Amino acid sequence: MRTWQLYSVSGNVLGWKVETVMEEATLALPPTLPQQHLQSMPDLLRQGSSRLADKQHSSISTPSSITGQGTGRENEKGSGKALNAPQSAGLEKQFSMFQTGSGKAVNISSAGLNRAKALLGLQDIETFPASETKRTSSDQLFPFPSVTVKGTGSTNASLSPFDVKFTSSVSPAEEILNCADKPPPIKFHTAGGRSISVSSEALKRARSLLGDPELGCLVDEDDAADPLFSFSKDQKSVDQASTKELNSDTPVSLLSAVKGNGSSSLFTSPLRSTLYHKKSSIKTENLVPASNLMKEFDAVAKESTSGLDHSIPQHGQLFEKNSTTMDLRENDFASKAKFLEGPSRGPLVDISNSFGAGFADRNQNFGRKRKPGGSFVSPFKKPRSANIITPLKRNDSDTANGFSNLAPKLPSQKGKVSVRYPFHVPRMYMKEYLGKPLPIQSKLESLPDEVRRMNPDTAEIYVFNDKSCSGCIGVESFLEMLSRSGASMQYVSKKWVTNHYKWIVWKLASYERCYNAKISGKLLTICNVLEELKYRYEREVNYGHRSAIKRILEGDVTPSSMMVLCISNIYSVCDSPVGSQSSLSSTTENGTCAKVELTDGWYSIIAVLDTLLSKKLAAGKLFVGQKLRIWGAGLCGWTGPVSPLEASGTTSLLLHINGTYRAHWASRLGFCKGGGIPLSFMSIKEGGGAVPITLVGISRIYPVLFRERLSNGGFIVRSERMEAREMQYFNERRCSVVEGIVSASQREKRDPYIGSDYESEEGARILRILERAAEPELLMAEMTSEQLNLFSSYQAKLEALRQSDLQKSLERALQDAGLAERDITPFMRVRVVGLTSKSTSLKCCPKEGLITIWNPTEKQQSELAEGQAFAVSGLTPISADSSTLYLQAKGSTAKWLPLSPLAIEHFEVFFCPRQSIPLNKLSEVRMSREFDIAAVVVFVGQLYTEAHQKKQWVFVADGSTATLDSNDGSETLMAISFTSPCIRTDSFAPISSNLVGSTVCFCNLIKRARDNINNLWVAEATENSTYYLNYDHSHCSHLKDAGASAERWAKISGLRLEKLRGRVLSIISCSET
Amino acid sequence: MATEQPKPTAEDVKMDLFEDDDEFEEFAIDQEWEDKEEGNEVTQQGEDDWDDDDVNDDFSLQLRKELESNTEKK
Repeated sequence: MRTWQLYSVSGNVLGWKVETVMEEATLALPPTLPQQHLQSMPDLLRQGSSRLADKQHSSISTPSSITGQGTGRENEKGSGKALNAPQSAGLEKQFSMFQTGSGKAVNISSAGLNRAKALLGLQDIETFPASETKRTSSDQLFPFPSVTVKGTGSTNASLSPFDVKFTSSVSPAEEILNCADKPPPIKFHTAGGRSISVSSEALKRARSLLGDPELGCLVDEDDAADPLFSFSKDQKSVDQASTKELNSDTPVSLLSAVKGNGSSSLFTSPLRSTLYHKKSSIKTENLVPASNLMKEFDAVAKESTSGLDHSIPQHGQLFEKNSTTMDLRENDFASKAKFLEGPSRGPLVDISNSFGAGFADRNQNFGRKRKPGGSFVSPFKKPRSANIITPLKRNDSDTANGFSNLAPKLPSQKGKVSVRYPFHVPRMYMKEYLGKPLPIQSKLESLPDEVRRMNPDTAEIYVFNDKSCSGCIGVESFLEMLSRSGASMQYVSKKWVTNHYKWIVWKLASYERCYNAKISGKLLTICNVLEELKYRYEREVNYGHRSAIKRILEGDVTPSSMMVLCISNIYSVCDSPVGSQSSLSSTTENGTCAKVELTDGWYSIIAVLDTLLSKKLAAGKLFVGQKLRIWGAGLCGWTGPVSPLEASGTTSLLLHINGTYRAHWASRLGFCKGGGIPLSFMSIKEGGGAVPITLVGISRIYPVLFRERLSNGGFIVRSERMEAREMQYFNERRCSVVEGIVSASQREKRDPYIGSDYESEEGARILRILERAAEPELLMAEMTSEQLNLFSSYQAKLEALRQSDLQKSLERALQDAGLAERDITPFMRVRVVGLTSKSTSLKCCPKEGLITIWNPTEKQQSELAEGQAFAVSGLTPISADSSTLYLQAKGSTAKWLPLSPLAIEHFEVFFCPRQSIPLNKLSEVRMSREFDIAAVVVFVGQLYTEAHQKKQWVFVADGSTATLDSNDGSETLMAISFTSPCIRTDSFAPISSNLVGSTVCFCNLIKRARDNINNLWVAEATENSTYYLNYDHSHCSHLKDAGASAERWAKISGLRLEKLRGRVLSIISCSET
Repeated sequence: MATEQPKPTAEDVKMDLFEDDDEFEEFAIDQEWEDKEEGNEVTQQGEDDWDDDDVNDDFSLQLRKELESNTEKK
């Protein structure tokens, strides 16, 4: 084998020569014994330059400065002294790795090393010494293929080009040419866009060049050619080299000099590119064998491509294939290869091939961070073509014209694709930017027909006819462009691109259509579509953002959230869920519903309209392009999280008119932030579904009632007072049943429980003995503790059994008596009125509503107050009549938020406070209206049954005399009709007869037609009516004065009351006869 | 084909010009309805939203006419 022999010429000047040594002498020694291992010159230089790199000695003098010296003396003084070149150990001492054959340490200055390197062309390794000939051979890739030389030694030796240069006239290039092509080629692209096939052998060689330890090529001469150790170039030169033609600034390699024409067949290999982009200082200090370089590369590449996992899996395999060169090496250096196989294998597969348009910004950033002194030069040839586009340049042009020049289509990577998101500069919202749309007539003249007629369907198949291209650019082209922009096909599919292309094109075309004068074709361009696609990719894939429809379909947000969606299609016929196929017009007439497609600009979803919305659709109020603010929508046909692109056609939003409003054309699509705008109470449609929020003023709150569900399925409603009585009655009946059962069970002869186990038997025996005993206490005193325990546990068992039996028989008996349980639901009615803004021009009678709150919470019962205005959520209209809308709500889900007094000021006054109506003013109350009165009970009639209801007349007077009533000035009398449900014969009377003479505050009585024959007022007490026996009660404070007055009158008017009573009796007797 | 480069246009990219209505903001949907505008004037959704054709100024009408005319042309 040939090795380099270094010997001292004089002082610091060294000579060196090639010396053939016995093969065994080299190969037998693993690198762990470096002092006995003969190093190649490149090895030595590498070690030296490692030190140099650490010291930032990166500049180099003219490459040829020492050439004469070096060449003049080499081979002259070959003393044959073996070089003793330590490896890692040698690195610790500066330059002490150079030793003479006799063991003398040789000092080499850094300048000297640099010169030596320059001489050897080490920093210009990438200069490819090939000819002009176009070759697809694998060898083209690599400037320093190992050259097999029939050496002077006993075996073939693998030599570096340097060997060749100094020992023979064989040009490496020629050797390369001699190499046979090896299938299969790997496709690479040059920076100029040319496709280059690279054989696996070539890749393998590249691998070996980089010191792949597995292939055992690291300690040989090729390492000398490793340009990674050419730290001679500063940043500037690297940049120049990459962007300009190779020029004289760049040291010209010796090999180039030899061939003199190494300037064609340029290429950019992925490796080179990686190295180029990721160049940074490599700590060569720690590099023991060259194999660690790979680690370093991997580390650097990983670091700089964080998040850009972009491994090329083929590499690993490729590099494992043998080439002729590798065969040689493996044969020759098998032991070394084996030795080094382990530690550095891991990262080799993961050579990040991370270049491309997708992360242009990162590259730029990276470039700025480069450490000036630590740059290295790619091992591969620099591109020299004038039209080279560097990755940086390429990316710029990319964004400018929307096309990527980057030829290689890279495997999946998750890198930054759009540089626009997040937006750094605040932009005007479209409404502000575009302004008010111009009159429509002038718009469409200059527009192409397909733009004028653009809708989502046509947008999907729209193609750009670019003049500079030979073809049309549609979805597939954009998919390709997106891919070349760095988007991973793992995350986007043709379906994805088609979908987003559709919405983007439709949107841009709509801008063109409405703002033709302002835009004039500038928006609907390839560049804009691609930018939007990249933006969407960036947000969805890299940021994980999801649009409203996506979030709903993926099950993360309830469809009832408020959002703005745009109608993108109208399906004229509804085939679900109500009715059969029919035309749109008949659909609405039949009360069935239509379907539309809604979009959030990113995805779409089918929406089923309710009957009322379907009517609006038929009336032309819903059309493609109309935005809707949707709130409280349902979702049907949804079985679980699904991607919007995969959702079935049966998955649809359910829209109802009370939760669907037309939105302004410039409303932002998607979920709405913050609370929504309440639907005005007047706009609530009877059959229009739940009302998300509405504003109401409470005019009356009625007492809590109790609805009992009867065993026959019917219902009965009771007042609180009646319910209390009913409950008491129920409990009394239960008690009597329970008493009967208990006494019956006590009367039963107790059967001592006899269990089958010892414990029970023994316990029962003791019990029997004790029962028969005259003095059981004495017996017990003599019993053992075990016996006592047995006895007590038996007694406990017996008692438990008895209780259990009793419980069972009680339940049975109560069930039989129909007294098991009562199904009671409390509810509260609230009369409300819609709030009318003072500023509105629409002046009409505000709509009234009656809200039933089922199971009202304590909070609601205490906080709802008459005269207060609330924003209410969770109301559902049930029915309506001419004056009143009936709604219901669940106490648990409905929310009542009081409006601030300030907010209430913006609305018309809605509240008419309760007031006391004396009987002589009752004429002022309109028929069927409610009124409150404090009066003295004159007479309580008998309960009677009429039309399945218990009825009772109660006569009251308040001492007021009707001024118009000329009949002897007697007091005005009023008859109040009470009604109670008739379910039992023993129903309670609503008003007890012992109330006669008492002052009672009646609330919410309904004025009925006056009985002119008997000259009395008539009122009706309904479910909502109530009465208070104490006029100091908080609910009847407005009746306090009237009550006190009536009471005073009653005290002093015993005679008058008697007279009135007689009048009542005569009326009753008259009516009975 | 599309792989060929069209001439780069010097126009501004639309996304830099203005903000679109579909550029949704990523935020957590607050299920709890809160009245954050307490004290402010409470507006109500269209006193008569569906019957009022001026609800969207005249843009909607225009758009509708346009779409109708497009349909007729087909």
